[in-house]
Amino acid sequence: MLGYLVRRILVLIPLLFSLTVLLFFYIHAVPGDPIAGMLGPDSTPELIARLRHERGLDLPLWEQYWRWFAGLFRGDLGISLINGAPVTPIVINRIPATLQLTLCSLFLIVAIGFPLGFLAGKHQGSWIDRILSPTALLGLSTPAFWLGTLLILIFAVRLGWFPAGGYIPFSEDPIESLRRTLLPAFALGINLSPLLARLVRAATVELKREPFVIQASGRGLKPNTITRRYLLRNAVLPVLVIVGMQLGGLLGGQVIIEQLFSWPGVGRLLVEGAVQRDYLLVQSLILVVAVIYVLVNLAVDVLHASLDPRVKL
Amino acid sequence: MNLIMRRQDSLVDAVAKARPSGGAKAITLRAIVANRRALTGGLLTAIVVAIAIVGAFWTPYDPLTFDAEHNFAGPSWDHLAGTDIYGRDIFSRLMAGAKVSLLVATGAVAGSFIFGTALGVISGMFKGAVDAVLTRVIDLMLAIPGLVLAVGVVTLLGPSAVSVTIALIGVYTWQFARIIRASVVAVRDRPYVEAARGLNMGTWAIIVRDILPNVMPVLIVQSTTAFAWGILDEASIGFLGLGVQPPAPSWGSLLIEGRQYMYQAPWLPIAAGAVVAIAVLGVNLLGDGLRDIVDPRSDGVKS
Repeated sequence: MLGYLVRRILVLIPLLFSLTVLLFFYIHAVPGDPIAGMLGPDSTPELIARLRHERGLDLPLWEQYWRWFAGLFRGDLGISLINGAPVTPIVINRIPATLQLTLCSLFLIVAIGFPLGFLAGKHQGSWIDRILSPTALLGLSTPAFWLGTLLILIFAVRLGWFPAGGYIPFSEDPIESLRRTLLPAFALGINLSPLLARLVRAATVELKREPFVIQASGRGLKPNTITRRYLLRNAVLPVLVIVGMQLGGLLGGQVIIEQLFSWPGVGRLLVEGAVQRDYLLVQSLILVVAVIYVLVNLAVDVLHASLDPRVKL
Repeated sequence: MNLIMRRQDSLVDAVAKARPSGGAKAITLRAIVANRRALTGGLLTAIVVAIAIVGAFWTPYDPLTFDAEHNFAGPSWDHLAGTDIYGRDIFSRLMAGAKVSLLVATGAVAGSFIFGTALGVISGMFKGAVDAVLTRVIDLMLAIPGLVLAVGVVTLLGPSAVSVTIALIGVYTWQFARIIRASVVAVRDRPYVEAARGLNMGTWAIIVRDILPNVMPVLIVQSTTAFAWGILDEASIGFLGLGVQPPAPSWGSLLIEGRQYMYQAPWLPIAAGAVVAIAVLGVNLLGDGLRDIVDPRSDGVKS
């Protein structure tokens, strides 16, 4: 186990390094002059040249990369193109709001999707089973911004049950904080839960055919015991895999939901940066998101390997 | 997106095992009519495309003309989806906006189809270092959530329909490359490809004559799915205020207006979102149906 962990972490180092190279050159391959774009019609060649020099953008490309990369090692995400302020503290400021929203919505996805999928798989052909596939497709096709808007219009405007957004730190007022998280978390996660349900269903159906389950019923164990001891426990595994797989969609959806609910998270920061055309900020934020994605997937893999003895270490 | 991607990987595997050629089953009109999902999705898609074509030439009201006396009017027989802050008919704007939205999605699919197929075929046909490097690059690019990456490109290019198209090509290309590579690997060592090599045919001739026709059905399924993403992502980027800019109508630009006036004119975001949802649902259904046709044993549908 330890060896496996060490191996995975060693692989991570070249992976993250390649990611920075790829992202940096991907962003710099986009044609056009971002400084002129940012300054708009007021820009003059002198102004552009001065800003370039101040932000170190007149250096050769490889040197710009090296400065960025060396900074990353010290936890320095570079500077903002707009005002030259360091990016790291700005990002750190935004992380709690995003983390809270992501965790709440992951919780909702699993809390809704897992029981549904498990029941559908256990009772194949029942009504839950039959509506699952269409609902999953419906969920995939429902845009997050639309769902979020409908939720605001119904639950915030019409019924007045929840505020239409605005973040309060959990440490300040836990209950109000969670009340405010519920609507955006729901909008972010609800369309992914039928997908989770569908995969849990598939896993459960396969489990029912496993020799150890058949043998258990042959031994005369009660159906409830079999469900609890053999089916339920093993159906938890795919949840892990799916969490890693759906994270990309979740991180993307975050950008939209944070905008809609005025949620001061990393996603909203990305949009603010994009609107102001601060590509240095945006570049670092994309890296942060990608690294989170890679790390969570690593964590999921390791957890999966430690829970499932069939995964070869 | 990720999930769909992995499902398609298993599609490639299943197809490779089930068919002696290793290629996917052909998509015929008859098969589409026989498949309920493909038929429903195809009809919905056709209706959306028809509305976009009509909307490009004719709309009930002029989508750009102000009518201050009738601003923020709710849905009625005169204005099916109500009017906006300037009294413009939202239904007409949705019709006119369909053109830009569908063009962006089409451009995104076409571009990523070309680049993705090229990358995938190169990666799949040339084993060794080229393949190893390309596979790593593709995997890494897929580790960046699509919408986030697209926002990055739009930051540099500025908000417009063309930049959104380019940004989306930069996202979908990797998805195409991945699935095409898997398909090429599945067929590249088949006897008929060996035979072609034995006949001294060049690599490119083999790619064009033997490989591409066999991966075409998978490509069609992938393109359909990507078209649905394209519609959804254009709308999402527009909603963020980074896409087509008002007053020009596109579904994305209507959505940002919808967000601004959500409380005064709730019918605007509801109608614009519904149109996007219907279009995406139609194309997704078509894609799912086509996937069934290409691989009849695919999961979920015929359980």
